[in-house]
Amino acid sequence: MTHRELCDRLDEFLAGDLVGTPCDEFECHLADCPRCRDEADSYSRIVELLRTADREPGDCPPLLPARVQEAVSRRRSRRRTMAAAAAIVLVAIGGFAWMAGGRFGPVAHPDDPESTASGGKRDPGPAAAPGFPEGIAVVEAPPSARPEPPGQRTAAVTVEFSDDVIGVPIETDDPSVTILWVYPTLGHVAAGD
Amino acid sequence: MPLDDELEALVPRVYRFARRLTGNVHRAEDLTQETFLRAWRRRGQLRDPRRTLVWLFRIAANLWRDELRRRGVLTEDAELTAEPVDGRMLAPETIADEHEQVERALAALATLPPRQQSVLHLVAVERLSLSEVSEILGITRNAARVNLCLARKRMRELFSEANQSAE
Repeated sequence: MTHRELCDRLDEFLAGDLVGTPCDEFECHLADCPRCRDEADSYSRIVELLRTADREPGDCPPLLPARVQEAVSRRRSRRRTMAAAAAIVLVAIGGFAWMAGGRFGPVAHPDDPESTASGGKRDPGPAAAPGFPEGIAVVEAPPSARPEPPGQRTAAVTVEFSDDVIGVPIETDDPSVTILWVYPTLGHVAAGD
Repeated sequence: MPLDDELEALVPRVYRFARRLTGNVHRAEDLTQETFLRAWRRRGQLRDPRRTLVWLFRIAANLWRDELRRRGVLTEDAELTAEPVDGRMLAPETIADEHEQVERALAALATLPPRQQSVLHLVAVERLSLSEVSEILGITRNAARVNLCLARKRMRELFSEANQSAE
């Protein structure tokens, strides 16, 4: 490599892009070339100053990380709200379809005297219309239920689906609310088509 | 996400790069926030976590380029000129003694064209390679090399001028 060609590689050397033999060659060149050495020395000084400036306290506004964090959380929350709204619509459509098919009767609470389903179990009802998925919801008091404040009742809800659908529970920020995504399986879609 | 600690720790570095891009602290803050929002939306695109910083810098550079295009101030080769974009001059007399040299270096850096500032910042401060810089800024590796060369020559010139004025 000629002297001129080596001089042209100064910026690659300074950027740390030269490794192995080319780097060794350039270091030998630096020892022999006062011009490149001078350029490298002045660059090193500038780099040192810029890195010092970069470490100065107060360079980044102290509240900026929290502001960014909050912005991301807000966006995340908005997306979850939209997803939840979509899920509720889906569940509502699915529930309507099941009820229309006669397979999804009223759920019962064990302490509810007006409940029509004994023991919290639903009456399976008549056979479903072809193409509708089946689901069974069981509402019952949790095993270790503590005395509840007046006007409040705690219940555990178990939902069982047939093979036609997949139910995916999604927890929300509110521990008393869980959204249930309901997807038809490919087999059900094919059968429905 | 929400931002994990590792990602949140990169906010200051993205901010400093954004400040080099925008030359303005308020725009830099906005650009930093937008960068992390876009990163969160596209987090699935990050294949190699070791390249998170380069990925964030690239998002910031793209966002800023889009912003300049919207404002109609981005031309193809405007950023490759060696002249300062806004004619800002060094003012050594206003520089505090305590950090005199550092302030002079920063003042000189601020007079460089934006692309040269970005290249110098990424190579000198962030220690990135020319290939990584070219990827972030959407330019060729050779353009990154040329910009580094122009930037350091100009810095040297401005820095020695500032030192002479101060003496």
